[in-house]
Amino acid sequence: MKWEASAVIVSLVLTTEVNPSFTDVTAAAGVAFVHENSPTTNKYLVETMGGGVALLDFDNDGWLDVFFTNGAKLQDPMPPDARPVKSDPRFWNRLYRNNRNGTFTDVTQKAHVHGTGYSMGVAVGDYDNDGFEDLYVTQYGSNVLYHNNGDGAFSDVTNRAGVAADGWSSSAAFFDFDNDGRLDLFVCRYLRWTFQSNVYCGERRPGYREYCHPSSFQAVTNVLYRNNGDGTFTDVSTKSGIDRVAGKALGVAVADYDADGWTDIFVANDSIPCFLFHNNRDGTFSESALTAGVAVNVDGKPFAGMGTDFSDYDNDGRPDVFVTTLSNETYAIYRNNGNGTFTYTTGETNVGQETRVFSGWGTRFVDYDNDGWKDLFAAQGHVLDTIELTSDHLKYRQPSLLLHNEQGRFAAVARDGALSYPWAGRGAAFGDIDNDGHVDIVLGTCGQRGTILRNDVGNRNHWLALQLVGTRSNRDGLGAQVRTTTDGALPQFFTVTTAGSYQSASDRRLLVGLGDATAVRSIEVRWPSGTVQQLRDVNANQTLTIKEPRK
Amino acid sequence: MVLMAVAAHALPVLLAAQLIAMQASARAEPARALLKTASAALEAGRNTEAAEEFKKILAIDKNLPAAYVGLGVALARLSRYSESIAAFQEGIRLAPHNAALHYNLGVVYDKQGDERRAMEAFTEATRADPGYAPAYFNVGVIHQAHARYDEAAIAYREALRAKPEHVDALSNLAIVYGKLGRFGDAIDACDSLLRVNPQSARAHYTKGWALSRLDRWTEAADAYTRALAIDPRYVDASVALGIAYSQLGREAKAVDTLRAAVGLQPDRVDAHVALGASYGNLGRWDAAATEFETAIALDPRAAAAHYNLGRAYARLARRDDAIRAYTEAIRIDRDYGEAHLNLALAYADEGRHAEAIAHYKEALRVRPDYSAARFNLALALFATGQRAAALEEERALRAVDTNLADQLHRLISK
Repeated sequence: MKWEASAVIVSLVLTTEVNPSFTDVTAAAGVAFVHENSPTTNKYLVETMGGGVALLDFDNDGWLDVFFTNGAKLQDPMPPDARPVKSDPRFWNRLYRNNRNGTFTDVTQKAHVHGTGYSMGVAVGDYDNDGFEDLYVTQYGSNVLYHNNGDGAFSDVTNRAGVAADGWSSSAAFFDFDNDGRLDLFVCRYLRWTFQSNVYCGERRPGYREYCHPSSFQAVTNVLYRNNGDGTFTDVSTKSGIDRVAGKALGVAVADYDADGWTDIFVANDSIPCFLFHNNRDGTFSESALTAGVAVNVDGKPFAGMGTDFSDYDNDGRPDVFVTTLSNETYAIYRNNGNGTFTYTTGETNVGQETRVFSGWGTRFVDYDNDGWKDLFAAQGHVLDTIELTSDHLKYRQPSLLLHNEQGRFAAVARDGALSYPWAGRGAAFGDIDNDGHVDIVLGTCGQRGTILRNDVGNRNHWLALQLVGTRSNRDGLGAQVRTTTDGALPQFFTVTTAGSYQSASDRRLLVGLGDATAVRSIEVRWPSGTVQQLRDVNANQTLTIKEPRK
Repeated sequence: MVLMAVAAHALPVLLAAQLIAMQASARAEPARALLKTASAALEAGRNTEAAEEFKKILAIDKNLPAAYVGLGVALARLSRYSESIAAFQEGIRLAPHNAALHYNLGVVYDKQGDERRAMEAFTEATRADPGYAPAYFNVGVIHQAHARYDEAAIAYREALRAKPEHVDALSNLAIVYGKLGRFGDAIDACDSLLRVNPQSARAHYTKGWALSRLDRWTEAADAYTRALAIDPRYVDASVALGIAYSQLGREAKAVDTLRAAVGLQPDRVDAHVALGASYGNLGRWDAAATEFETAIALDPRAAAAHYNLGRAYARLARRDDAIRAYTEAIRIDRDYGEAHLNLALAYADEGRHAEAIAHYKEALRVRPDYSAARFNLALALFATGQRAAALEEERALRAVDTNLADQLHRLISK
């Protein structure tokens, strides 16, 4: 508990005139998913993690479907050798197919993706380049790779693929680290913990037991799997240098921050310095967060990094880093200086002021109003479900954060409607569910229902959706760098990725906000293969598929 | 609120002296010579001598307004307010447009507690001289004292229009803007002053204060640091910087800064409380308790110091001392909800459930939505066999905090 000094703290929320009007359409959509974290009086740490979300078009009908991860039944206390049990359908992971009319159908059983353990996160990528998105579900225990059969069902191919990992995984990311046209897999592992190593934390008073701080447990290494191209993967954690450092990883995002054509990895660690794995272009990585300036905050202190994004917020053509953290820390935003280093801009971007009392998880830079500047969304909620007992000003359930990007500086958007509802927010996935050109958001929670937030901004700004199809590069085009230019506005820069956020996977299609421009003057695509593709004078308000030239 | 020093009562002397120098009458050489002597006596604080000298001047030349100003100021300093008022009024009769006479009359009225007349006099001063900044400033002070913040802001803005470098007006305007929730305007006001006078420690401090109200603690710490670079003995800035460091989680720096503050001003109660809080955040409970005890020795009615001392004692397992400290905090402030809750928890730890329940209820009397108090009240009721009452409290808790209600339900339904 923070002591009260003589100063009285008053938090103000600055508002802009923009009114986003996101609408909670979950019930109307027929989505009845409830995350079950199975809370116990023993305060097992896994209970705090909440669920992840994926937005993917698993049946290639052009409409985004939704996948939620779920917990499993825990005993209170857990007997030795007991495992979380997922047999009760209320603990199942769930896949909802988009009916293309604003409603969804639960196809979990037909798709065979209900799962087996205490699930955490999800990654999406077409690892075998067969044209169908596959799913990787992280868990406490071993993870699961689901191959999309293309017929509405998935197959558990974990053992054959060799990607089970072990221990406790959180977020994961599909990306092509060696530019060989096949998606590899990075898996965040949280820390070394078992039900038996759980310890008592918090005051010894009924109701005051708390989930332990991660400092009570040892760090662990992350895992990098290289795709062999035959349905199997090789663990290259040691060979690549990824396992030279142990962390407490919760979030991962990928981008080419030094514009050398090779994808780098940013990892948000919980209460220890973050990692930036620089891709050495030879199959190895160098951890360089400290020298790059993204390991700690401006005071040189680590923070409770949870969700993250690696994207260009100031339209200077370089991916920046954003990390959500715990209350009283302020979220961290780092501007890419273009020389391999970053500057901590939490203060000057106003992000610090707007986030100090919140705890953030799933997040992404998304241009919700299509004005050509990526805004910032974060799912929020404190990690301690007893926080109200020990703090007067912090809440367990918190409204979601939406900050409007005003040319590189962020201002809070008035919280109304669905944005004002207090959630124990965790995962968040982003994509245009109703194909109206406005990005929608799906929230995962901890012990609450999953939520679909439909973007009803309804402004007249124009947009362009881009779907990349790789040929020499991986089929999803993950890692491709896209630069769009319109008259009268700064160019915009994107990396195609499903990764980022927290334990979640977003739509790989790019949504480009165009403001009042009715056309894009030029689109430049730098494919992971090295191919550079140019398109000119593309009309707005359409979804454009860009196929990589074969030669 | 961090109240800025309001300098209304320090201004008359200087003004009187300046006026005397400017308006020395050339009517009579003896009077001119005496004016110099009287002014020197007034400036030196020899008020009785000054009063006599001004009386001699007026005996020579009754139509010399500057002498009435000097006489009135000297008499006011001697607390001879009736005579002082008479002198100013006589001066005004002779020179109704002399702003200094109206202004000083207003100051004396204010010293007598007659704010209505003081306000009238200050207003007359501004009518006589629309550029008379001190009068606008004091109008602002009176409005501010009565929570008429919009009116106060107008007056301070007028003072700043008349004298853009008026630091006190700027500081108070910033506070008034703060009261109105216009912290951005407060920061803008400080920036305006800093453009005129970048070396104004007060402006940096006030800007830091406004930034802190917006939770912009990093920038606030920077502003306080700038204030201290200009004036290293600026204790207000030192205390505020320590608190800012604490808010930023930089407790070691907070301790260093606050220790420096109490070194500069050992009787500064809020500095000891803040220092104790920072020690507490570092888990140094003994040191925290010592600071709170020092604060209490300086001000036995500092309820927050007693409350925080109780929390430090509780951490040191000195439960009886903690109970005494919480009880004292409540004796000073019976509506101290946090003290009621912590006292109740201490009683509960001792198995004194009836007393615990009574203080949980007191905490809820103060703050009906105090979810932590209701949570513990329900547990105490349940522990004493009052299951129905506990369930009733669970229902009430659910109305304000479903998460804690769920937690409670798991505990009392097992």
